Amino acid sequence: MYCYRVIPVLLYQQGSLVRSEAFQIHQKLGDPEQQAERYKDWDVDELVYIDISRGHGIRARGTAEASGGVLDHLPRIAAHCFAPLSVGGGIRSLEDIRVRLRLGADRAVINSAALERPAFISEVAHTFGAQATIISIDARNGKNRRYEVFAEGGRRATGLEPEDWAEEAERRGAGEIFLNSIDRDGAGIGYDIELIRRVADRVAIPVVACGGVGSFDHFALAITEGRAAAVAAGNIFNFKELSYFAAKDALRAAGVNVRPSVPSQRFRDLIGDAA
Amino acid sequence: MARIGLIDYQVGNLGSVRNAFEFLGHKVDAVVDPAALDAVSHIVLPGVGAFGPGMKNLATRELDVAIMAEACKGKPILGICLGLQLLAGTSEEYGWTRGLGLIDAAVVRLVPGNGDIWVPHVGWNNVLLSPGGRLCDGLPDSMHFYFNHSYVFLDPHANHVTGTFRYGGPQVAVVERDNVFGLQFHPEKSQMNGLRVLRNFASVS
Repeated sequence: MYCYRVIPVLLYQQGSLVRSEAFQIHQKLGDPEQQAERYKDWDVDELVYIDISRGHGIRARGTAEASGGVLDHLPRIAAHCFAPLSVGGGIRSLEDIRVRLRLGADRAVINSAALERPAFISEVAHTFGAQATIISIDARNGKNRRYEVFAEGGRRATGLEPEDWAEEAERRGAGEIFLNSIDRDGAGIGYDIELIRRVADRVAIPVVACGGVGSFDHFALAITEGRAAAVAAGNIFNFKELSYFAAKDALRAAGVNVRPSVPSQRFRDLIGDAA
Repeated sequence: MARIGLIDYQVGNLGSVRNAFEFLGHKVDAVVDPAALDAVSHIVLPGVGAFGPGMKNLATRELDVAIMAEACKGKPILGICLGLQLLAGTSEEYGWTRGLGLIDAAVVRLVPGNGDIWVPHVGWNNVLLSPGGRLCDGLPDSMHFYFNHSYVFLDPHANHVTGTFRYGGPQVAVVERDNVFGLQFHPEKSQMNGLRVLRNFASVS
Protein backbone atom coordinates (compact mmCIF):
# COMPACT_ATOMS: atom_id res chain seq x y z
CA MET A 1 0.00 0.00 0.00
CA TYR A 2 1.20 3.50 -0.86
CA CYS A 3 2.92 5.30 2.02
CA TYR A 4 2.53 9.04 2.38
CA ARG A 5 5.94 10.63 2.84
CA VAL A 6 7.18 12.78 5.71
CA ILE A 7 9.91 15.11 4.46
CA PRO A 8 12.19 17.34 6.56
CA VAL A 9 13.27 20.53 4.80
CA LEU A 10 16.71 22.04 5.35
CA LEU A 11 16.93 25.76 4.59
CA TYR A 12 20.41 27.01 3.88
CA GLN A 13 21.53 30.62 3.82
CA GLN A 14 25.10 31.87 3.53
CA GLY A 15 26.81 29.09 5.42
CA SER A 16 24.17 28.33 7.97
CA LEU A 17 21.04 26.30 8.50
CA VAL A 18 18.19 28.79 9.06
CA ARG A 19 14.51 28.96 9.93
CA SER A 20 12.17 31.47 8.35
CA GLU A 21 8.87 33.21 9.01
CA ALA A 22 6.71 34.43 6.14
CA PHE A 23 9.88 34.13 4.03
CA GLN A 24 11.26 37.16 5.87
CA ILE A 25 13.05 36.50 9.10
CA HIS A 26 15.87 34.06 8.82
CA GLN A 27 17.21 32.92 12.13
CA LYS A 28 20.51 31.07 12.08
CA LEU A 29 20.30 27.61 13.57
CA GLY A 30 23.71 26.13 12.97
CA ASP A 31 25.59 23.72 10.79
CA PRO A 32 23.51 22.24 7.95
CA GLU A 33 25.68 19.14 7.75
CA GLN A 34 25.15 18.36 11.41
CA GLN A 35 21.39 18.60 10.98
CA ALA A 36 21.54 16.42 7.86
CA GLU A 37 23.40 13.78 9.88
CA ARG A 38 20.58 13.77 12.42
CA TYR A 39 18.05 13.27 9.63
CA LYS A 40 20.01 10.35 8.27
CA ASP A 41 19.94 8.79 11.73
CA TRP A 42 16.17 9.19 11.63
CA ASP A 43 15.73 6.93 8.58
CA VAL A 44 13.77 9.64 6.75
CA ASP A 45 11.56 9.02 3.71
CA GLU A 46 13.15 11.85 1.77
CA LEU A 47 15.12 15.05 2.35
CA VAL A 48 14.77 18.50 0.77
CA TYR A 49 17.65 20.97 0.83
CA ILE A 50 16.95 24.53 -0.35
CA ASP A 51 19.46 27.36 -0.67
CA ILE A 52 17.70 30.67 0.00
CA SER A 53 20.86 32.79 -0.14
CA ARG A 54 20.83 35.73 -2.50
CA GLY A 55 23.63 37.63 -4.21
CA HIS A 56 27.13 38.02 -2.75
CA GLY A 57 28.37 35.44 -5.26
CA ILE A 58 27.15 32.78 -2.87
CA ARG A 59 25.50 30.65 -5.52
CA ALA A 60 27.75 28.91 -7.99
CA ARG A 61 26.21 29.15 -11.41
CA GLY A 62 26.76 25.90 -13.23
CA THR A 63 30.48 25.80 -12.70
CA ALA A 64 32.50 22.92 -11.37
CA GLU A 65 34.51 25.24 -9.14
CA ALA A 66 31.81 26.06 -6.66
CA SER A 67 32.14 29.54 -5.19
CA GLY A 68 31.38 28.20 -1.77
CA GLY A 69 28.00 27.96 -0.22
CA VAL A 70 25.55 25.16 -0.69
CA LEU A 71 27.61 23.27 -3.26
CA ASP A 72 30.42 22.92 -0.73
CA HIS A 73 28.05 21.29 1.75
CA LEU A 74 26.12 19.15 -0.70
CA PRO A 75 28.61 16.26 -1.00
CA ARG A 76 28.69 15.74 2.75
CA ILE A 77 24.93 16.07 3.04
CA ALA A 78 24.53 13.51 0.25
CA ALA A 79 27.13 11.14 1.70
CA HIS A 80 25.53 8.01 3.18
CA CYS A 81 22.11 9.45 2.40
CA PHE A 82 20.31 6.36 1.18
CA ALA A 83 17.04 8.22 0.75
CA PRO A 84 16.12 10.61 -2.07
CA LEU A 85 17.68 14.05 -1.76
CA SER A 86 16.02 16.97 -3.54
CA VAL A 87 18.02 20.16 -3.93
CA GLY A 88 16.81 23.63 -4.88
CA GLY A 89 17.62 27.31 -4.74
CA GLY A 90 18.97 29.34 -7.62
CA ILE A 91 18.67 26.61 -10.24
CA ARG A 92 18.47 28.38 -13.58
CA SER A 93 20.01 26.02 -16.14
CA LEU A 94 20.46 22.36 -17.03
CA GLU A 95 24.13 22.70 -16.06
CA ASP A 96 23.11 23.92 -12.57
CA ILE A 97 21.19 20.66 -12.21
CA ARG A 98 23.97 18.52 -13.63
CA VAL A 99 26.41 19.97 -11.09
CA ARG A 100 24.08 19.22 -8.20
CA LEU A 101 23.31 15.68 -9.36
CA ARG A 102 27.03 15.00 -9.67
CA LEU A 103 27.52 16.21 -6.12
CA GLY A 104 24.92 13.76 -4.83
CA ALA A 105 21.45 15.21 -5.31
CA ASP A 106 18.75 13.02 -6.87
CA ARG A 107 16.05 15.54 -7.80
CA ALA A 108 15.96 19.22 -8.69
CA VAL A 109 13.58 21.77 -7.15
CA ILE A 110 12.92 24.68 -9.48
CA ASN A 111 10.95 27.83 -8.73
CA SER A 112 11.63 31.25 -10.25
CA ALA A 113 13.45 29.97 -13.30
CA ALA A 114 10.32 28.06 -14.34
CA LEU A 115 8.13 31.14 -13.85
CA GLU A 116 10.48 33.25 -15.96
CA ARG A 117 10.66 30.68 -18.73
CA PRO A 118 8.10 27.86 -18.49
CA ALA A 119 9.74 25.98 -21.37
CA PHE A 120 12.61 25.27 -18.95
CA ILE A 121 10.36 22.74 -17.20
CA SER A 122 10.13 20.50 -20.25
CA GLU A 123 13.85 20.87 -20.93
CA VAL A 124 14.56 19.61 -17.42
CA ALA A 125 12.01 16.79 -17.67
CA HIS A 126 13.36 15.61 -21.03
CA THR A 127 16.95 15.71 -19.88
CA PHE A 128 16.68 14.32 -16.37
CA GLY A 129 13.23 12.73 -16.29
CA ALA A 130 9.97 13.85 -14.73
CA GLN A 131 11.08 11.94 -11.63
CA ALA A 132 13.81 14.50 -11.07
CA THR A 133 11.70 17.56 -11.98
CA ILE A 134 10.02 19.20 -8.98
CA ILE A 135 8.35 22.57 -9.42
CA SER A 136 8.19 24.60 -6.22
CA ILE A 137 5.30 27.04 -5.92
CA ASP A 138 5.21 29.79 -3.27
CA ALA A 139 1.75 31.24 -2.70
CA ARG A 140 0.26 34.08 -0.67
CA ASN A 141 -3.36 34.74 0.19
CA GLY A 142 -4.76 37.28 -2.23
CA LYS A 143 -8.07 39.07 -2.62
CA ASN A 144 -11.46 37.43 -3.03
CA ARG A 145 -10.41 34.09 -1.54
CA ARG A 146 -7.83 33.63 -4.28
CA TYR A 147 -4.16 32.82 -3.87
CA GLU A 148 -1.30 34.31 -5.83
CA VAL A 149 2.03 32.78 -6.86
CA PHE A 150 5.16 34.76 -5.94
CA ALA A 151 8.63 34.44 -7.46
CA GLU A 152 12.06 35.33 -6.11
CA GLY A 153 11.51 34.09 -2.58
CA GLY A 154 8.21 35.86 -2.10
CA ARG A 155 9.34 39.19 -3.52
CA ARG A 156 7.74 39.33 -6.95
CA ALA A 157 4.02 38.94 -7.56
CA THR A 158 3.21 37.01 -10.72
CA GLY A 159 -0.54 37.44 -11.01
CA LEU A 160 -0.88 33.67 -11.38
CA GLU A 161 -3.09 31.47 -9.27
CA PRO A 162 -1.23 28.44 -7.89
CA GLU A 163 -3.66 25.85 -9.24
CA ASP A 164 -3.36 27.30 -12.76
CA TRP A 165 0.42 27.42 -12.58
CA ALA A 166 0.58 23.89 -11.18
CA GLU A 167 -1.54 22.64 -14.05
CA GLU A 168 0.76 24.31 -16.57
CA ALA A 169 3.83 22.89 -14.83
CA GLU A 170 2.30 19.42 -15.03
CA ARG A 171 1.49 19.89 -18.70
CA ARG A 172 5.08 20.86 -19.36
CA GLY A 173 6.44 17.73 -17.70
CA ALA A 174 6.87 18.36 -13.98
CA GLY A 175 6.82 15.17 -11.92
CA GLU A 176 5.84 16.76 -8.61
CA ILE A 177 4.69 20.05 -7.07
CA PHE A 178 6.29 21.36 -3.86
CA LEU A 179 3.72 23.81 -2.53
CA ASN A 180 4.60 26.47 0.04
CA SER A 181 2.27 28.81 1.86
CA ILE A 182 4.21 32.03 2.40
CA ASP A 183 1.70 33.33 4.93
CA ARG A 184 1.85 30.15 7.01
CA ASP A 185 5.65 29.87 6.83
CA GLY A 186 6.95 29.71 10.39
CA ALA A 187 3.53 30.56 11.79
CA GLY A 188 2.96 27.20 13.45
CA ILE A 189 -0.82 27.30 13.02
CA GLY A 190 -1.08 24.40 10.59
CA TYR A 191 -1.02 23.98 6.84
CA ASP A 192 -3.26 26.04 4.55
CA ILE A 193 -5.54 23.15 3.65
CA GLU A 194 -7.63 25.13 1.17
CA LEU A 195 -4.51 26.07 -0.80
CA ILE A 196 -3.28 22.48 -0.88
CA ARG A 197 -6.67 21.13 -1.90
CA ARG A 198 -7.06 23.59 -4.78
CA VAL A 199 -3.74 22.58 -6.27
CA ALA A 200 -4.11 18.86 -5.57
CA ASP A 201 -7.55 18.79 -7.17
CA ARG A 202 -6.20 20.30 -10.37
CA VAL A 203 -3.25 18.01 -11.12
CA ALA A 204 -2.61 14.26 -11.40
CA ILE A 205 0.99 14.55 -10.23
CA PRO A 206 1.82 14.36 -6.50
CA VAL A 207 1.69 17.54 -4.39
CA VAL A 208 3.95 17.99 -1.36
CA ALA A 209 2.58 20.35 1.28
CA CYS A 210 4.85 22.77 3.14
CA GLY A 211 4.49 25.77 5.45
CA GLY A 212 2.71 26.18 8.77
CA VAL A 213 3.25 23.07 10.84
CA GLY A 214 3.47 23.86 14.56
CA SER A 215 2.41 20.61 16.16
CA PHE A 216 2.38 16.98 15.10
CA ASP A 217 -1.38 16.82 14.71
CA HIS A 218 -1.13 19.39 11.88
CA PHE A 219 0.32 16.89 9.43
CA ALA A 220 -2.62 14.59 8.80
CA LEU A 221 -5.09 17.18 7.45
CA ALA A 222 -2.82 17.99 4.52
CA ILE A 223 -3.33 14.41 3.37
CA THR A 224 -6.84 13.55 4.51
CA GLU A 225 -8.41 16.87 3.46
CA GLY A 226 -5.78 18.57 1.34
CA ARG A 227 -5.09 15.46 -0.76
CA ALA A 228 -1.34 15.98 -0.52
CA ALA A 229 0.89 13.01 -1.36
CA ALA A 230 3.49 14.03 1.19
CA VAL A 231 3.98 16.42 4.10
CA ALA A 232 7.07 18.57 4.47
CA ALA A 233 8.18 20.80 7.31
CA GLY A 234 11.25 22.65 8.47
CA ASN A 235 10.95 24.14 11.89
CA ILE A 236 9.25 21.34 13.78
CA PHE A 237 12.09 18.98 12.96
CA ASN A 238 14.85 21.43 13.84
CA PHE A 239 14.71 21.34 17.60
CA LYS A 240 13.15 18.18 18.95
CA GLU A 241 15.16 14.99 18.97
CA LEU A 242 12.31 12.52 18.43
CA SER A 243 10.17 14.81 16.29
CA TYR A 244 10.33 12.73 13.11
CA PHE A 245 9.02 9.64 14.88
CA ALA A 246 6.37 11.69 16.67
CA ALA A 247 5.22 13.02 13.30
CA LYS A 248 4.79 9.51 11.93
CA ASP A 249 3.02 8.39 15.11
CA ALA A 250 0.56 11.26 14.79
CA LEU A 251 -0.12 10.44 11.14
CA ARG A 252 -0.67 6.79 11.93
CA ALA A 253 -3.04 7.70 14.75
CA ALA A 254 -5.01 9.79 12.25
CA GLY A 255 -5.33 6.79 9.94
CA VAL A 256 -2.69 7.85 7.40
CA ASN A 257 -0.46 5.05 6.07
CA VAL A 258 3.22 5.90 6.60
CA ARG A 259 6.31 3.79 6.32
CA PRO A 260 7.88 2.78 9.64
CA SER A 261 11.19 4.57 10.25
CA VAL A 262 13.76 2.96 12.49
CA PRO A 263 16.65 4.76 14.12
CA SER A 264 20.22 4.32 13.01
CA GLN A 265 21.33 1.36 15.09
CA ARG A 266 20.01 -0.89 12.31
CA PHE A 267 22.45 0.66 9.86
CA ARG A 268 25.30 -0.13 12.17
CA ASP A 269 24.07 -3.71 12.42
CA LEU A 270 24.01 -3.91 8.65
CA ILE A 271 27.61 -2.76 8.30
CA GLY A 272 28.62 -5.27 10.94
CA ASP A 273 26.87 -7.96 8.91
CA ALA A 274 28.49 -7.02 5.62
CA ALA A 275 32.00 -6.53 6.98
CA MET B 1 33.80 -8.74 -2.59
CA ALA B 2 32.14 -8.28 -5.96
CA ARG B 3 33.38 -6.14 -8.83
CA ILE B 4 30.31 -4.24 -10.02
CA GLY B 5 30.17 -2.94 -13.59
CA LEU B 6 27.89 0.09 -13.41
CA ILE B 7 26.69 0.97 -16.90
CA ASP B 8 27.21 4.67 -17.64
CA TYR B 9 24.95 5.57 -20.54
CA GLN B 10 24.21 9.19 -19.70
CA VAL B 11 20.81 8.51 -18.23
CA GLY B 12 20.48 9.36 -14.57
CA ASN B 13 22.88 9.60 -11.70
CA LEU B 14 25.40 6.84 -11.05
CA GLY B 15 26.61 8.31 -7.80
CA SER B 16 23.92 6.94 -5.52
CA VAL B 17 24.19 3.40 -6.86
CA ARG B 18 27.98 3.56 -6.65
CA ASN B 19 27.82 4.84 -3.07
CA ALA B 20 25.50 2.04 -2.02
CA PHE B 21 27.70 -0.76 -3.37
CA GLU B 22 30.87 0.85 -2.00
CA PHE B 23 29.20 1.24 1.39
CA LEU B 24 28.59 -2.51 1.28
CA GLY B 25 32.27 -3.11 0.57
CA HIS B 26 32.30 -3.82 -3.16
CA LYS B 27 34.41 -2.39 -5.95
CA VAL B 28 32.54 -0.37 -8.60
CA ASP B 29 33.71 0.29 -12.17
CA ALA B 30 31.84 2.80 -14.34
CA VAL B 31 31.35 1.07 -17.70
CA VAL B 32 31.23 3.20 -20.86
CA ASP B 33 32.25 0.60 -23.41
CA PRO B 34 31.82 -3.17 -23.85
CA ALA B 35 35.48 -4.05 -23.20
CA ALA B 36 35.11 -3.06 -19.55
CA LEU B 37 32.51 -5.78 -18.97
CA ASP B 38 35.04 -8.64 -19.04
CA ALA B 39 36.64 -7.69 -15.73
CA VAL B 40 33.46 -7.29 -13.71
CA SER B 41 31.64 -10.02 -11.81
CA HIS B 42 28.23 -8.32 -11.79
CA ILE B 43 26.53 -5.81 -14.09
CA VAL B 44 24.15 -3.07 -12.93
CA LEU B 45 22.01 -1.09 -15.33
CA PRO B 46 20.66 1.94 -13.44
CA GLY B 47 18.57 4.71 -14.88
CA VAL B 48 16.25 7.59 -14.35
CA GLY B 49 14.79 9.01 -17.51
CA ALA B 50 13.22 7.86 -20.74
CA PHE B 51 13.21 4.47 -22.47
CA GLY B 52 13.93 5.71 -26.00
CA PRO B 53 17.01 7.81 -25.23
CA GLY B 54 18.20 5.09 -22.85
CA MET B 55 18.14 2.40 -25.53
CA LYS B 56 19.66 4.80 -28.07
CA ASN B 57 22.58 5.63 -25.76
CA LEU B 58 23.21 1.95 -25.08
CA ALA B 59 23.15 1.19 -28.79
CA THR B 60 25.54 4.04 -29.63
CA ARG B 61 28.12 2.52 -27.32
CA GLU B 62 27.26 -1.04 -28.45
CA LEU B 63 26.48 -1.75 -24.84
CA ASP B 64 23.07 -3.20 -25.74
CA VAL B 65 24.63 -6.12 -27.60
CA ALA B 66 27.37 -6.48 -24.99
CA ILE B 67 24.89 -6.70 -22.12
CA MET B 68 22.83 -9.31 -23.99
CA ALA B 69 26.02 -11.31 -24.59
CA GLU B 70 27.01 -11.15 -20.93
CA ALA B 71 23.50 -12.29 -20.00
CA CYS B 72 23.95 -15.36 -22.20
CA LYS B 73 27.28 -16.07 -20.50
CA GLY B 74 25.50 -16.16 -17.16
CA LYS B 75 26.92 -13.03 -15.56
CA PRO B 76 24.46 -11.61 -12.96
CA ILE B 77 22.73 -8.51 -14.30
CA LEU B 78 20.54 -6.11 -12.30
CA GLY B 79 18.28 -3.51 -13.93
CA ILE B 80 17.05 -0.70 -11.67
CA CYS B 81 13.96 1.37 -12.49
CA LEU B 82 14.57 2.45 -16.10
CA GLY B 83 17.21 -0.30 -16.18
CA LEU B 84 14.52 -2.85 -15.33
CA GLN B 85 12.30 -1.53 -18.08
CA LEU B 86 15.10 -1.71 -20.64
CA LEU B 87 15.31 -5.43 -19.94
CA ALA B 88 11.85 -5.78 -21.43
CA GLY B 89 10.85 -6.53 -24.99
CA THR B 90 9.08 -3.31 -25.81
CA SER B 91 7.94 -0.02 -24.33
CA GLU B 92 5.12 2.26 -25.38
CA GLU B 93 6.96 5.40 -24.27
CA TYR B 94 7.11 7.89 -27.15
CA GLY B 95 5.79 5.28 -29.59
CA TRP B 96 6.77 1.61 -29.43
CA THR B 97 10.49 1.04 -28.85
CA ARG B 98 12.40 -2.23 -28.57
CA GLY B 99 14.28 -3.02 -25.37
CA LEU B 100 16.94 -5.58 -24.62
CA GLY B 101 14.35 -8.36 -24.59
CA LEU B 102 15.97 -10.23 -21.72
CA ILE B 103 12.67 -10.53 -19.88
CA ASP B 104 9.61 -11.13 -22.00
CA ALA B 105 7.37 -8.21 -21.02
CA ALA B 106 6.01 -4.91 -22.21
CA VAL B 107 6.38 -1.56 -20.48
CA VAL B 108 3.28 0.62 -20.32
CA ARG B 109 2.35 3.92 -18.75
CA LEU B 110 0.70 4.12 -15.34
CA VAL B 111 -2.75 5.66 -15.49
CA PRO B 112 -3.69 8.21 -12.81
CA GLY B 113 -6.89 7.44 -10.96
CA ASN B 114 -9.12 7.87 -7.99
CA GLY B 115 -7.95 7.00 -4.54
CA ASP B 116 -4.69 8.95 -4.68
CA ILE B 117 -3.18 7.27 -7.73
CA TRP B 118 -0.88 10.01 -8.96
CA VAL B 119 1.57 9.61 -11.85
CA PRO B 120 4.51 9.41 -11.42
CA HIS B 121 4.29 6.93 -8.55
CA VAL B 122 6.58 8.79 -6.16
CA GLY B 123 7.23 7.57 -2.67
CA TRP B 124 7.45 4.44 -0.61
CA ASN B 125 5.27 1.39 -1.11
CA ASN B 126 5.40 -2.07 0.31
CA VAL B 127 6.53 -4.95 -1.83
CA LEU B 128 5.26 -8.49 -1.28
CA LEU B 129 8.06 -10.94 -1.93
CA SER B 130 7.56 -14.51 -3.09
CA PRO B 131 9.60 -17.28 -1.55
CA GLY B 132 12.28 -18.67 -3.81
CA GLY B 133 13.39 -15.31 -5.16
CA ARG B 134 17.16 -15.05 -4.97
CA LEU B 135 17.29 -11.28 -4.75
CA CYS B 136 15.22 -11.12 -1.60
CA ASP B 137 16.46 -14.35 -0.05
CA GLY B 138 16.47 -14.17 3.73
CA LEU B 139 14.37 -11.00 3.77
CA PRO B 140 10.87 -10.55 5.24
CA ASP B 141 7.79 -11.25 3.07
CA SER B 142 6.82 -7.59 2.95
CA MET B 143 9.21 -4.65 2.77
CA HIS B 144 9.00 -0.94 1.95
CA PHE B 145 11.00 0.50 -0.90
CA TYR B 146 11.20 3.90 -2.65
CA PHE B 147 9.59 4.18 -6.07
CA ASN B 148 9.69 7.00 -8.61
CA HIS B 149 8.36 6.06 -12.06
CA SER B 150 5.60 6.62 -14.57
CA TYR B 151 5.85 3.28 -16.41
CA VAL B 152 5.31 -0.29 -15.23
CA PHE B 153 6.04 -3.83 -16.39
CA LEU B 154 3.09 -5.60 -17.94
CA ASP B 155 2.40 -9.33 -18.14
CA PRO B 156 5.77 -10.96 -17.67
CA HIS B 157 5.64 -14.72 -17.07
CA ALA B 158 4.31 -15.29 -13.58
CA ASN B 159 7.31 -17.38 -12.61
CA HIS B 160 9.62 -14.45 -13.41
CA VAL B 161 7.87 -12.18 -10.93
CA THR B 162 9.23 -12.50 -7.40
CA GLY B 163 7.92 -9.25 -5.95
CA THR B 164 4.76 -7.19 -6.41
CA PHE B 165 3.30 -3.93 -5.13
CA ARG B 166 -0.12 -2.30 -5.35
CA TYR B 167 -0.69 1.02 -7.08
CA GLY B 168 -3.82 1.26 -9.15
CA GLY B 169 -3.89 -2.53 -9.11
CA PRO B 170 -1.18 -5.17 -8.69
CA GLN B 171 2.16 -4.23 -10.27
CA VAL B 172 5.53 -5.87 -10.83
CA ALA B 173 8.28 -4.85 -8.39
CA VAL B 174 10.90 -7.59 -8.76
CA VAL B 175 11.69 -9.90 -11.69
CA GLU B 176 14.19 -12.73 -11.89
CA ARG B 177 15.06 -14.91 -14.82
CA ASP B 178 18.14 -17.07 -14.22
CA ASN B 179 20.95 -14.52 -13.90
CA VAL B 180 18.91 -11.50 -14.96
CA PHE B 181 17.26 -9.47 -12.19
CA GLY B 182 15.18 -6.32 -12.19
CA LEU B 183 13.82 -3.90 -9.60
CA GLN B 184 11.14 -1.29 -10.26
CA PHE B 185 12.07 0.60 -7.07
CA HIS B 186 15.36 2.33 -6.24
CA PRO B 187 17.33 0.12 -3.83
CA GLU B 188 20.03 2.80 -3.56
CA LYS B 189 17.39 5.19 -2.20
CA SER B 190 15.46 2.76 -0.02
CA GLN B 191 17.49 3.10 3.15
CA MET B 192 18.39 -0.15 4.87
CA ASN B 193 15.92 -2.32 2.96
CA GLY B 194 17.47 -1.33 -0.33
CA LEU B 195 20.99 -1.98 0.87
CA ARG B 196 19.97 -5.49 1.91
CA VAL B 197 18.68 -6.23 -1.59
CA LEU B 198 21.86 -4.88 -3.18
CA ARG B 199 23.92 -6.98 -0.80
CA ASN B 200 21.99 -10.06 -1.95
CA PHE B 201 22.59 -9.20 -5.59
CA ALA B 202 26.32 -8.85 -5.01
CA SER B 203 26.36 -12.36 -3.48
CA VAL B 204 24.66 -13.99 -6.48
CA SER B 205 27.12 -15.97 -8.58
